[in-house]
Amino acid sequence: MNLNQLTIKEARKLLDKKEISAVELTRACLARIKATDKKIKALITLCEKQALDLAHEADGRIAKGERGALLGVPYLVKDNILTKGVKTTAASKMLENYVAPYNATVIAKLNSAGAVLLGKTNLDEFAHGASTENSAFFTTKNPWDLKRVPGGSSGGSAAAVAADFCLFALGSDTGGSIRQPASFCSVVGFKPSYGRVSRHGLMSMTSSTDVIGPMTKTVADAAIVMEVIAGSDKYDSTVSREKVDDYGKNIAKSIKGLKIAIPQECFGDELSGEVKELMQNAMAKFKELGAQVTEISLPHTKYGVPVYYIITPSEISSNLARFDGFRYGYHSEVKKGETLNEIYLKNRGEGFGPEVKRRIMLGTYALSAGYFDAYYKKAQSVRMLITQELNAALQQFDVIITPTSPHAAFKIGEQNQDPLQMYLEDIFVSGPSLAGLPAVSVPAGFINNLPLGLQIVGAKFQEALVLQVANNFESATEWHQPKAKI
Amino acid sequence: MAEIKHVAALSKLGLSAAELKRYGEQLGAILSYIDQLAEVDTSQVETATRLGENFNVWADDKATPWDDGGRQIALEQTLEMKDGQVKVPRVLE
Repeated sequence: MNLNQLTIKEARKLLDKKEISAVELTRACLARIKATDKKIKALITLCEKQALDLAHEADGRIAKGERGALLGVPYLVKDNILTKGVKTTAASKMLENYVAPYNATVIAKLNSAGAVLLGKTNLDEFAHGASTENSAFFTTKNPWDLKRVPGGSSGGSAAAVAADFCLFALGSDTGGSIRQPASFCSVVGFKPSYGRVSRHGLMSMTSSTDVIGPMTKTVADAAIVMEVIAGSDKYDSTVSREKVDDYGKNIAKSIKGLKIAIPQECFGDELSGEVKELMQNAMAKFKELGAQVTEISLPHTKYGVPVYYIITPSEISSNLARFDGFRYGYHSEVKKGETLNEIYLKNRGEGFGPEVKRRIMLGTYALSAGYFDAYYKKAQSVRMLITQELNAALQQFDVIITPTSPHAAFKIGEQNQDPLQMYLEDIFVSGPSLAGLPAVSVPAGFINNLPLGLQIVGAKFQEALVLQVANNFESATEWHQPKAKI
Repeated sequence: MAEIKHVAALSKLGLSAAELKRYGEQLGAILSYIDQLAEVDTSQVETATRLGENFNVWADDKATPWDDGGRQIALEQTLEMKDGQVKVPRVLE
């Protein structure tokens, strides 16, 4: 086995026993990236020298007897998370040459923990999309089939973990952007509750749903990363002050007697027979493990996508107003006599890509005089109903389980001409985002050799329970074991 | 067409005629899909309560020195510097 294929847990044992060094582990990841990323195109920036420096430093700390879950562990980060002194582009022409002047709180925490930053991964521009096809630079390929998308918007991170470029990666999830690519690439993608992990240094998209979370090879690894990155932050007032649970403690505990709800709305006629079968097999497995599986109805599920595509563009139109090309970012050549407004129009018209423009306009429209009540206020009201419905179900049941995505990875170019078709990718993942709930996608099988995940949703701040259920499923199945042949 | 032009202007996006036409059509289709929200009865929803358990967090409005090298990086992101200040295009006559 190559060192880059290790899980965090496996690497930890070898590092602590000094059977391997952080430098060796980092070199293995760098070698894998250099040999394979030509095909996958998961990375926007590789930080080779910096990574080796950090690895040397970590080895020094280990030699002095220091112990830590992520000390010397190499990882990759989605390129909408700020990394000081390293280019942070959001996969946008607007920020193509932007170097972050400070670290996001999650990066600062990982730095102190001694984790080794290898580089930055591709995404849909400003995280707007579900395939990475909206990246201004290139489309990342799915390691399971290079003709297909890795999902998105954290597609670079998902593909990188699936191809063993790193031991874990960070993604961000606003309406499914960690879970859907995890499902398409057969990795674990964990979206924490809103307010569990600091957003400081994550480029704001939808400030009311944005969260940062881990993408890993196993559920136990997701728990390890969560313990390092979760918790309060003086730079983000929306982070909860509730104490962070010990996520690893009960992760292997039996789920006998656990109450699982299956929303019938997620198993409608639109869902293919293969996905239904895969989900039925998963439910049979949960029953074997001693859980009670009950079919329920969540009638507002179908409004998740239309609500999401009012709330999100509205917040985007406001959050992306800061990009005007004056102090930093893309700037067009200024002609003599041009007005301030003309400069704004050019900088933004040339600097942003099509999906970003669509979302800014959609949000501007929904918030404009005369339409605010019909769109924004209506969407916020329906969002309340979706949230109440999910919360009520989660008072009665421990977790809700759905497919993560309605189908496996689609072909590059197959859906990107129709924005609405792309929005429907979010059908099962938008609800938990709107309600701020923790949710994970875990590998649940293959359809025509393409992976698919199932989504486990818990009540707010019940991260530990969600991880426990996911870990039980993972231990009882082998779906996480096959590796993409790349 | 007049409407999409107005929205583009409010959005501060300079768009070509072809872009206006394409986005106009696409946004029309998206809004028709979103219009299904009208069928949901929201008369009983109290949107003010959506703030839930959130609370105000206050901090002193106090400048702190930024001396870890980040300031220099931030200043390097700009097009032109003059006397330690960011120089921007002339926008006032």
